[in-house]
Amino acid sequence: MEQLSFTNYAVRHLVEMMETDSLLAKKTGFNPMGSLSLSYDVFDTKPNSANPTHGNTLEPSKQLEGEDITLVEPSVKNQEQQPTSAKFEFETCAASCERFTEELADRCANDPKLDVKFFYDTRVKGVSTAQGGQRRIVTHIQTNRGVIDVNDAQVLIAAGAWTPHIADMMDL
Amino acid sequence: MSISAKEALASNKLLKPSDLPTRIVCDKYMFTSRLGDEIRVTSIGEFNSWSTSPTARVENEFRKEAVRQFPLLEFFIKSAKVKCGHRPYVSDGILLLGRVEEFDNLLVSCGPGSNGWKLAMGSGSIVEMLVSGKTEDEISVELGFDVRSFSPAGRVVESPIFAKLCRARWGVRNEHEIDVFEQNKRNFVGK
Repeated sequence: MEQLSFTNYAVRHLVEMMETDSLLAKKTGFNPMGSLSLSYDVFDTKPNSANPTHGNTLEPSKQLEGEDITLVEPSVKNQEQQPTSAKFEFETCAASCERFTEELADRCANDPKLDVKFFYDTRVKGVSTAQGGQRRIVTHIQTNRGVIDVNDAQVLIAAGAWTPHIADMMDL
Repeated sequence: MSISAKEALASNKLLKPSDLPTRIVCDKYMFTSRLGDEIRVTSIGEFNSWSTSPTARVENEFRKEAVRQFPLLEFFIKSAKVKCGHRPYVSDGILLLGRVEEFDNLLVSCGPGSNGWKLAMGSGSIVEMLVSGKTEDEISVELGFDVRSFSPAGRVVESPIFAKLCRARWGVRNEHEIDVFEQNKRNFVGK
């Protein structure tokens, strides 16, 4: 439940950003026109039927059938097998995560006020730690381009799939 | 895969804008989004380690299902480049977000699976609050949900022997353990 609350908070954050920044919305292809989840099986029209994509959603939705589906989304009419029903989540939004990340990176790189510095083609090869007071501290990060002295900074591991590779360098 | 709506319309005069998806259209197998000019067609996930190369059999099936969903885009679906990315998630399904207990200056943000970008701005906000000195309790009160639920405490723990086994298994070396660290110790210069 907490993860759902967090998801709502995080998504609201993103949508607000898109709604107040028309350039960002345009660059990322922001689309607030909802999501149509199609079913082709009569059994799927049961209210409790599971759809792997949208089975556990709490988003507001309405059930569509027959011509109502193609009225909402005309492109569906070209499908050889027509859907028997559809779940229309009308508040769902979409945008390109790739283009969003590129735009955000551009803004960070080009606005000195944001004080962001990127090091490209830089791979972490080692992490050194030391015993602080009660806990350890990260002191240096060795990369293929030299050593970063952490000083009094905070270190965030946000390396996606490679996070365990970084963490195990700290015996975590 | 991505298909340009403009290119599709320009290449076939019989194709109308209403033949192209205008929103997210999905079913049990496919998930197609309309992002401005881009029609992005996505589908399956595979357990495939760190490889980002599409499996040929899966790629063929993916194209076939995409044609089923949008038959008028067949030409583009058959020729578009298929890309794979990672969807790393934590085995218990709960993302890891917060301070690592064993350290004074280390945080982690990872493991949201397919929700990565969706949660990115929220995760960034919580990291910013933690770095600014707020406690998890204070943040929970401010945001109205319990951020301790995502805490790495008890889930990211000190485990030197297991970490060593992982490094051996993954071919990862911590070069601070070997002499190179001191040899290379010099100021980091960003280029």
